[in-house]
Amino acid sequence: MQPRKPSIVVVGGGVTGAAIARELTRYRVSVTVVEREDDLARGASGACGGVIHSGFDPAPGTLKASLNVIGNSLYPKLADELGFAYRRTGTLILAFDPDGVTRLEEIRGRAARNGVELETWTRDRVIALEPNANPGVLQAVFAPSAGAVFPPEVVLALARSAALNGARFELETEVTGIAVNRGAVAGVETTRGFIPADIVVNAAGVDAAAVAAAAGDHTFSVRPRKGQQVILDKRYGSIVARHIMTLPTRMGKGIGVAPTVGGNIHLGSTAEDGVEPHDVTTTSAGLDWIFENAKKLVPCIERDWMIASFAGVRAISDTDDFIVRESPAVERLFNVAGIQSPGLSAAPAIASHLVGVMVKAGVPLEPEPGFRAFLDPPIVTSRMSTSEWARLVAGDPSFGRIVCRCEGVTEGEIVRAIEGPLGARSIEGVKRRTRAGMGRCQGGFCGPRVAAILSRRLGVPLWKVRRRGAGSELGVGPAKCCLRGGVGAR
Amino acid sequence: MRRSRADVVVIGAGPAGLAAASAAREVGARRVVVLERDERAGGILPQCVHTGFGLRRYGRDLAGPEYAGLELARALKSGAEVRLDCCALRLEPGGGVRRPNAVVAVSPAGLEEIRAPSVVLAMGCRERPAGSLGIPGSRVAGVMTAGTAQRLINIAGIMPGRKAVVLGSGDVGLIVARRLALEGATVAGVFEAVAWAGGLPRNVSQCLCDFGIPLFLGHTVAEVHGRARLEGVTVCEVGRDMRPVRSTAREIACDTLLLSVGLIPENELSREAGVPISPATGGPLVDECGASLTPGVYACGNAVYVHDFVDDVTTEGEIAGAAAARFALGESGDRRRDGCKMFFREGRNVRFVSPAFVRLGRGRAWPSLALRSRRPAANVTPVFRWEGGQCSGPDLEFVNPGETIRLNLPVEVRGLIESDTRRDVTVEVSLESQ
Amino acid sequence: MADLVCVICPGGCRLSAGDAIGGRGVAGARCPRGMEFARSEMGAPSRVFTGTVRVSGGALPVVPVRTNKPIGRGLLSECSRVLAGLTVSAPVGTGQVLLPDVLGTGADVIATCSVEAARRGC
Repeated sequence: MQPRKPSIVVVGGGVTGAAIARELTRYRVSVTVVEREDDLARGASGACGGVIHSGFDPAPGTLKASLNVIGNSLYPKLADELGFAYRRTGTLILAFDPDGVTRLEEIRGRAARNGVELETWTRDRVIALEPNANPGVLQAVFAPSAGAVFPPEVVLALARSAALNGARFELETEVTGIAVNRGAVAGVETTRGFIPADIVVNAAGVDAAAVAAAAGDHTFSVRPRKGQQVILDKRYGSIVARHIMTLPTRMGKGIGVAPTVGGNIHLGSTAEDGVEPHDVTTTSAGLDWIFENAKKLVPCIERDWMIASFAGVRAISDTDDFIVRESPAVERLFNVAGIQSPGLSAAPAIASHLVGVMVKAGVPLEPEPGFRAFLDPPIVTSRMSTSEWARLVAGDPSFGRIVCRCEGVTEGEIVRAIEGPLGARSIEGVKRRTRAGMGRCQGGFCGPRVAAILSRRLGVPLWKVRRRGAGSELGVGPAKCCLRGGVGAR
Repeated sequence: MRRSRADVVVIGAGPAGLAAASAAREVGARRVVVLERDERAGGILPQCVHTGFGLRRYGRDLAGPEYAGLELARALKSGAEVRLDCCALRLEPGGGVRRPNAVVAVSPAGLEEIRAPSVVLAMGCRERPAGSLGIPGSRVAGVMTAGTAQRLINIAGIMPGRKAVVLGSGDVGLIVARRLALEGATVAGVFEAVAWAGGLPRNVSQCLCDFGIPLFLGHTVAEVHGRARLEGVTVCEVGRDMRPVRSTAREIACDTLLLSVGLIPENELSREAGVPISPATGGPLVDECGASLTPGVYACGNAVYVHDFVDDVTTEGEIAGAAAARFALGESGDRRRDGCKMFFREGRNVRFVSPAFVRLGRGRAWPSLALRSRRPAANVTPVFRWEGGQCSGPDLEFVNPGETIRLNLPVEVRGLIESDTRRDVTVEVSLESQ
Repeated sequence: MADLVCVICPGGCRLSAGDAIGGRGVAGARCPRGMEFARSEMGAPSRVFTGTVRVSGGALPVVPVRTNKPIGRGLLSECSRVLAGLTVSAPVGTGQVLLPDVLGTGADVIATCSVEAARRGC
């Protein structure tokens, strides 16, 4: 008789939780991910620029440094297995004064100790290859291994792969307590009931310390750091070919101008301490700072080019390093906390590192021979050749009906995004899965059409279709509801 | 991929595209195909349930859907093919009658390429979205453009909110404010950053004044609040630097923020095809017939510049469609295309002039110019300046940035066109206050 | 004296109306309809009502409507409330009278667009 499979609850559906869930399904375990929001990647993972950092920046010897470098090296294969967009862009760090040139020297030293390849570029080379870069540059270093992804796409692909391999995802499920029995975890209390567990992985991002505390573990703290960011219109998507950034500061990586896999430019981010844990508001000071500093790197950037701005809150641990360990206070509680930037880059490595930590802690992890690494490739008509697309439309005409004009997304893709595993439940969910509404009109034209498709497929009245989570319904009622009194009298 | 040929391909079945297609057929083009990406024809008109359309052309006060219905019926009767749910993906300019342009489109029927000597760009315009403003605060539901709200109310049949604030005083915002009021919602006010309304005075009168909706000039929305849905906005006066004055901040509870902060000609297809675009209008640089600087490529309607009246869009669409058909049929010689041009340049207090140029030739009706001012002004003289000369047009009692001004070219400027010039001429148009 | 903006056509003439009697003293109108507008505005202002009416069994949930002639400006909101209580069955044709003599004004509420009956499925 086979022994009962250990049951593992992962708290948090960001990139860390999703990568861990997928990694754990390589073993004979039962995995459940609980996520408070109605979709994955709704916290810091979904609100970052999507740069896969090379790993020159973190202090040598830290977990952050080693997992960043390993994570970066895992991305090309992961992109191949899961079918998400990944492009190697490289990072170019510019120095504008002699002091900066000295600091580039420090970066080269740090990169060498982290095992990251760097090239030194002269001013002429920078100007020749990035003609829009500030001509005041004196010298630069280039890290060729840096890349770009669309973060929600990565998180959703990891989660779909985990689900394909048997992981369960409980959305809109908030952890209210951790049950501890004789010093070891016994399960998690949630807003949707108790989930028994032999092992709990705490990947709750900015709430990780609170989740640990619920189990009686007060061994670390996490503080929020807000990062405001800006997306520029695709029309200006080729102003830079590489991720260009200023010298890193103590507070973070400095400002970057990054080409995204969707063809836009991402600017950011600010690094603001002393904010509330879920404060994702933008401020005029923050946006001013972004444009002022981005223009120092690429002077031609105009504020008019902005199509979106948003903020994410990163979780900074008290050691400033990643925490990936079994709780010293509670057995079988594994904390994966303080996963700030470069958390997206490191996530695949964090997941495999955690498995090592678990094995060392005596968790019996038997390989699951049925693990399937590959996902079916997604259908993205805008990335297809004309003949491929024509064949697809011949088989299913809905792939010939463009719903989102700006990004060229068809009805067929939207229906798939709703009906597939971990399907979209909101307009935002469709946007993250298909890019519908991510273009320059920001859903002005396609929003109502996407909502109509959601309404039909989910069987809810149109006005109840959500933009994002609960409380974000498209309307307040059907036609005439404000004249007839009452809502939904239909 | 299916391949076919046509004389004229029209991109967009709004009022401009439908008029262009009808006119092209009426002057003798054989196959005219209109590509429309929406599931219905008429462009934005089907959601414009208010009246005010057709007074000039039909002498009747029609609602948007009625006007769209008449124009669609006329296009179909003329024999133009109107293809719905069919999205033009790209335009590949060919270079003339012998080397036709190619348009690649997709629809549920498949992908297709249509080669045609003439292509008419009639994609209309779109609203400036919330994201481009970067209003500080949360990203919440309930913030949308006025046009999106109009579509939700008038076509999708849902109420977007119970209490709204409108930012920007463009016509769409004013018209939707009235719709919301009539549907039983409260409109707390229309907030406009500059000192004048963006929309037509008649809309300020019949949409706001009639319903007691206040218009706050020199004000803006400085911040939006709420968790999942909008709960309120902070409004402020605007300082001389056009930024909010924080000391004047006040909060307004609302569940909806509508934006009516500008319309932008929709020209991604034109840009990608390399059709020269005017920085002043955001539309293709066209002559008095709608011909762009790319051979065989014509443009009309709000894709060229944002018009006040649909009646004018129809008229200009007809001119462009007829010219496109004549080009396809080889009736307008290459001489004109290569000939000299008179370009119009925006001068003092002029935001844009359309057409951007006229071709210097014989026997043509000289066009009137459409222009908009940057600021309101009273007792204004239109002044035309060129190398070695200037003249002025009849005085205007007042100009208002929200209203298009139509000027006939003064006789001196016409003379310049008719004189034996062998090079391009540039005329700067200014609106000068006395 | 009263300053008005003519709303008859999109031309939006700025009118100054003096003595209301007989519309004398109206300045700024570029056409006779403006004179008439000013006269009516000084006495009993009227507007064409536009809006929507709910449709059952249609391809769209609402149909756009207008009154076939102007009604008293003060009746616009009341007219909207009356129409909120009305549901018509698809199909609806352009020009079809959906409510005759609304509020006793003598004006009929007519559809400005057709709405077909809903197709089955989606």
